[in-house]
Amino acid sequence: MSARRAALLLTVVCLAAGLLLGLEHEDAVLRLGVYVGSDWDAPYSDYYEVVDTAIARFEEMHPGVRVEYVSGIRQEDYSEWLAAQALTGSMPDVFFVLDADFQRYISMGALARLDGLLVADREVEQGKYYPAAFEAGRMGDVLYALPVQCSTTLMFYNRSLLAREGIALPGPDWTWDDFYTICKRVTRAGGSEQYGCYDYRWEYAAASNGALVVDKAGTECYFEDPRLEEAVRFCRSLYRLGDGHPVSEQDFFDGRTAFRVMNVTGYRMMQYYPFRLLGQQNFEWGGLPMPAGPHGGNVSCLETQVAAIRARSMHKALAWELLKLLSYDQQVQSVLYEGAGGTTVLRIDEWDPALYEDAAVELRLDALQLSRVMDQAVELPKYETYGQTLAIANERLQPVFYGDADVSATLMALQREVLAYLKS
Amino acid sequence: MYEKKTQRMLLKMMSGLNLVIILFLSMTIGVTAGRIAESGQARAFFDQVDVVPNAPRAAPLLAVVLFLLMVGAMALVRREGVPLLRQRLLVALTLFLLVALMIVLRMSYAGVVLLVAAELLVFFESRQTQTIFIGGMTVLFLCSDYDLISLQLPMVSFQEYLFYYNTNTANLLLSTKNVLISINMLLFIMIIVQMSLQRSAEHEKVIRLNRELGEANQRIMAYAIESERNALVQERNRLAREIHDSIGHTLTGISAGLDACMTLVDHSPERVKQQLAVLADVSRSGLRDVRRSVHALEAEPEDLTIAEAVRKMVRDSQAASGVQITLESVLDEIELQMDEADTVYRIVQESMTNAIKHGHATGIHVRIKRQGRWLAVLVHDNGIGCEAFHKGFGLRHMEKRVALLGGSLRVKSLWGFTVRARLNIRWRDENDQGIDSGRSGADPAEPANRTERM
Repeated sequence: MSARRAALLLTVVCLAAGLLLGLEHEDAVLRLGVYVGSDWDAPYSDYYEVVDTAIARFEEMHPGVRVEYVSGIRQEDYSEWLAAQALTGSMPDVFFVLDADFQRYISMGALARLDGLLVADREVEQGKYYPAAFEAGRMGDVLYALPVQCSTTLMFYNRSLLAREGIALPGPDWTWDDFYTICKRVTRAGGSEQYGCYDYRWEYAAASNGALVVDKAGTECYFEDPRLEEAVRFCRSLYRLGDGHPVSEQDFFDGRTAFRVMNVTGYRMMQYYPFRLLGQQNFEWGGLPMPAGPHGGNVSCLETQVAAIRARSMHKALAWELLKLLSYDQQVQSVLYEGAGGTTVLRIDEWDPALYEDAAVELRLDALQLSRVMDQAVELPKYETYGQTLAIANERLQPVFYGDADVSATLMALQREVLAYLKS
Repeated sequence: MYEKKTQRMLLKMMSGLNLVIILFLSMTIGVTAGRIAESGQARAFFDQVDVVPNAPRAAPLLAVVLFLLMVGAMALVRREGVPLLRQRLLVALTLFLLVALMIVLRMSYAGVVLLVAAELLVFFESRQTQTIFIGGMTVLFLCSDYDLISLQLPMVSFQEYLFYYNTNTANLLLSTKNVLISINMLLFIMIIVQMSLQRSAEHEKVIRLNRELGEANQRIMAYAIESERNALVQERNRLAREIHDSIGHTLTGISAGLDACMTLVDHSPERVKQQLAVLADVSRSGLRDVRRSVHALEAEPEDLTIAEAVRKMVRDSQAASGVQITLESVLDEIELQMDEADTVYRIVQESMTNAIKHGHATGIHVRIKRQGRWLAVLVHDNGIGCEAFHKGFGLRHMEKRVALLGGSLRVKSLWGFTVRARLNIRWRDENDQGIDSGRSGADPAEPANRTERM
């Protein structure tokens, strides 16, 4: 190859590379990965409205930058869609990460570390988030995502039933004993059945007794923790009220059950569809914090939907701005609170009440009380097989709850089994 | 730089093959990634790998561009006459591009390292730099071992992409890759073998040249001995010529004069006396000639200019033989080199000797004049000439002398005998002033006699 030809080739290549880079910079395009449907299986249609509002604001703030997203991806397809994007090198710059995918993408190095961006950003104050919501974006010591919306578990009660039974409404700092006493009082077997609580799971009891079932990354489990054993024992005594008949959801809808545990999103969904339309709801609702165990507090579990930035994003600063807008902007967050499935991840104490009042009224919940619940909530583990871990534990605990199995022995065996499962 | 044709061709083949392999690998990865994504198995695929692959669809283009740049840089290094600094920079650029290319290829292909090693090994001449270079290449080559590098740098290997395919297709792709890599390895080995063969050939060549040099030296020594012998023979010939030219001439004159004396002795003793006196002169002159010849053999010319020498010879011959000799000469006006003057003198002397001895001439005309760039020497006699003319020693000798000066000699036997010589003289009077500018101050009217001395 002559020198001239080599030089020519070099020039052409440089020009082509320059052109490609130049085109990329001329009109920055941020890609956003969103799915429809919330983490809590609640169908709602206003979600794109939220996203579109956020994008419109973002594009206003950053002229020359476009934000694109693919609409119509369902939650169940989202994981595969995101994987395909990652595989073909076209991962969005900012994207929601499902809990089950969170750890995987971290270990694959696909998520940008946000600590630096957070430190450099003077606007974002970590303290304005609910702690559990903010922690949801962290794995180990590294911040990989920011929360966008969350949903906490609450103890809902049948106001009508309690009134009928002449039971005073418990206060927000009620305990397991209060809870158990009420359940025992309302439970009636035979003829006109009546039950205490639906769907109060042992893991909720553990959370409100200060016990942790599994760590966040799914590497350790703590079934031998006495607080957890206490929670299991409490559940067993609760489940054995009456004739030990497992309470169904229908029992609650039929107005035969005093309490049920549900997250806010599920509750909100029921406010709209289909139950209201069908007129099945013939009683008044109310929401309470979870009852406190002897070693814990009125602690709920908080599920948080987080969004991350692509590690190889060409526009990290812009991506951070977009993510911040979705996560930290009061306007956007208030829209989420109002219309979308979850609730805001920001503490509303400092907000202008106008931003949340309507939503709270519609929810028929005390917004500030809800905010306090969320402030105290603990985050749920975020690893791919958390569901399976719980399934294993549930299966092994059935003989404890409904049979004669020894609690300590079962939990000891469970500790070994789950640990082996987690390590595999 | 000495490069064998085969080696160049092998290197070209290796470059081409590497391009094919890079295209094959990166396109297989790109296409497979696309197919996995389209078939909805991306998440399942991620269960098998540890890292999000790096833009597999853009990789082929990037890899090819980097590869071509690298090949271009190596081509520039190879060109002759590249300054050392630039050559080093280009080598550094090549290595940089190599590392970049390997990163783009996710270290999954080491063949390019072999290519660069084969191309650049020639440029590391000292043993030390060569060792460093080979060491570096070995490290890079080892780095491309997926199992080793994936511990440090998580990545998706070519094999992992093949999980997508059924066994047959996967095997086909994998064996294609392996065959291509094997061919590449083979080419590399061939190049290295070629290189070492070439080295040993060069070594042998040096040895052979050395031997040939020794032989040539011996030949030159033999030649020197022979040429010494030749010089001896030449000297003997010269002696023979001198004897023939000088003593022969004189003796011819004396014998002719004595013949005349014998005819005259009865009629006119007075004239015989006269004649004998002349003959005595001639014999003395002959003696002088002999002395001169001896002088000439001693390479000491007599202290006469050529013009004087010729005039004297004519005078002596006329006196000795009684033959009427006329002389027409420009020798006074020109300058001759020693060899030229000598030749002129010998031509005149030999021709006159021949005319008297063989032609029995009674009259001889000698004319020396300039004809353009030539000096023409003509000796004509009115003797009997000769019918069947054959060149004697003297004539052949004359011809040889004339030829040495780049001239020509013709003889004609018609109304007597004519010798006509044309000499190519190195004129210095008009055209070639510059050659002898040191003498330009000398009086042109008085011919310098140094060069004309006999």
